[in-house]
Amino acid sequence: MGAIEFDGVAKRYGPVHAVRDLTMRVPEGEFLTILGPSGSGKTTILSLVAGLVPPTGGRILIAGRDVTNLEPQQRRIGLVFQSYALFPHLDVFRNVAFPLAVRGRPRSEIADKVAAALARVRLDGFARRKPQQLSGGQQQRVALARAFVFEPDILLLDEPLGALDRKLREEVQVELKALQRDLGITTLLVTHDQEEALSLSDRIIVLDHGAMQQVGTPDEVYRRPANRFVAGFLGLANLLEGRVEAGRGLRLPTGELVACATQGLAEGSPATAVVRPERVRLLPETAGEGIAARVRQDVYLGHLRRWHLDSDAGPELIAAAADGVGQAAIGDRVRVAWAPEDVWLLPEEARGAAA
Amino acid sequence: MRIGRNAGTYVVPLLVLMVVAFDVPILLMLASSVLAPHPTVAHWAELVESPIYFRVLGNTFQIALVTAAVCGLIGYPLAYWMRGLGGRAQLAVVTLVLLPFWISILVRTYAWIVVLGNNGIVNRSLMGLGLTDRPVSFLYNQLGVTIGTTNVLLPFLVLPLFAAMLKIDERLLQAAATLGASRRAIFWRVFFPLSLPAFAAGLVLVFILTLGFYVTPAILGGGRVPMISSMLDILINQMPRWELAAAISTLLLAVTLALYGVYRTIAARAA
Ligand SMILES: Nc1ncnc2c1ncn2[C@@H]1O[C@H](COP(=O)(O)OP(=O)(O)OP(=O)(O)O)[C@@H](O)[C@H]1O
Ligand SMILES: [Mg+2]
Repeated sequence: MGAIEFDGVAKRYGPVHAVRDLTMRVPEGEFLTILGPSGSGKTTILSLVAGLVPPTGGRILIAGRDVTNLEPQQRRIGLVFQSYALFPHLDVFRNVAFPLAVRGRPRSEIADKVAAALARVRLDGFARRKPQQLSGGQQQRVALARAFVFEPDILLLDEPLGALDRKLREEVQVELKALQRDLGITTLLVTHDQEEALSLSDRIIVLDHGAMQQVGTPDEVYRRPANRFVAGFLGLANLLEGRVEAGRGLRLPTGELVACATQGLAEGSPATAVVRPERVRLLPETAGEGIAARVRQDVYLGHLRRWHLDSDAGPELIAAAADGVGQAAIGDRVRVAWAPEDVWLLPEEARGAAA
Repeated sequence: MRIGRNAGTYVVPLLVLMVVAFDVPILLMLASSVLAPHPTVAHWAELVESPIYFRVLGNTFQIALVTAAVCGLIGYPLAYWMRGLGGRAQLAVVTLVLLPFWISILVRTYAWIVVLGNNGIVNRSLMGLGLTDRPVSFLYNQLGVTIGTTNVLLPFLVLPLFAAMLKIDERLLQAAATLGASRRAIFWRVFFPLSLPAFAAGLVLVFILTLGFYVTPAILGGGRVPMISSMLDILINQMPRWELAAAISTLLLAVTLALYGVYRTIAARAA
């Protein structure tokens, strides 16, 4: 078991900065999710921790030991590849037994541990199958069993659920979380699925173009994004630009006031208000409060209904509510409102996303 | 399906040509081992009863086996080394491996006589180094034949093997490394098993090609290393015993087809 420390870690491929100056600490036993768009450097971070590529700068410590120059073999890390990388010539049993076999463990111990690991991922009875004879979800679970069977210090998972359909993915997510908690193993999970990140992690780091945009608990990252990129990447967000009126809120160019806390922001400085759609309430046109708007689109999502609105305050606004809660048809004139505590203010310097 | 049928009709004339021009003569020739001059098993009986033919067959198999083994011992490390090379160096080496294909087999075979002869560069170097005081006889024996066939057939093993090695997913080797396997263990537990089907297929291919090889063994063996192909030459051109040659050819074809079956089975597993 061990904590991971990144100390100014950087990786360049020629002109491409795959990872820029990453400094952070992942405490022992934490489930950390790395979230970011395609090409943002997620896989590269895992490869650096696993020792598959050398960093071009900085140090990586695992359990206090500097592993920057250690071979992958010496790092005691279980890695599940984006493509699973199961050995096609070995059956499920011998795939999972591989890390034990190369360590020269006795046969009986191998048999016991492999059986336990396969039971853990609910694949008992599949031991003699070849990887090609398994479904994507089963292969993913074999890869997972192979990665933890030798009790590594750290588990690295590169989009392990990417190939699964939604229902299976949700099942495996629950299993994965339970497994990680039972083993108490420090885990880095890569995903570009924000729901997966929010539901599984103790903390999330959000990456863009190799640079860390924010690190925090799912709640922090969702409710108090560090910048517009994070706000936009984790679900939908209403972004309203204006100028700060200290102690009162944000004054929009159209004259409306968005009431909210303005902690420490200077009077008159430009800022952006972030409001999540599910915090936006739709009111009748005659209501005395809120911003006037017209319903442009009505999107039915099953458990949710979402409205896209043209507002008098400038940009498009989005509201969402559990189906049956709100009522509005396309073309209706409404007013939208939200509570001051549901507004998160981003100061001007947090506007630019990536460096 | 429509496309398939249309394509089929275009191919029919070619197919007829192939059958009439190639397959029918071969079958007639093979049939002569039991039909000429009238239905008989006499030629087969003669083949089975005279030990000389089986000695030649045995000798041929032995040379084919040695050639396949030597090709394997040289070819596997060569292909492995080529796989690890960078883009440009790799292209250069592939070209070097292919180069012999563009030089006539006769030229290459006679070149070996110059190189391996009593006054050739090899013997002069050996004597110059004091490793031997009489020339070593490389030519007109099994050693010479094996050197020649190995030289000609090596690319048939190396190129497909190299292609198969390139297809092995680098991430499998990385996965093995993260799971704690040493370089040695990665090679023996992952890389070698994954390359084995292509390797085995290459060995069988070289073996089959050696069985029927004529030019190189004839020249480098100088008539002193009997192989099936040179025996057929004698039976047809000097005896002439077409019926017996047909019987031997039938046997050779059967063995080759059986081996080809093995080759296909292995190659299919490799793909
Ligand atoms: N071996 C390499 N050589 C050159 N550039 C590379 C290499 N590996 C990655 N890159 C570049 O580094 C950047 C980060 O790649 P990385 O694979 O870490 O992205 P990712 O976040 O995992 O993306 P995805 O979600 O698509 O898997 C990309 O711009 C990519 O093109
Ligand atoms: Mg990736």
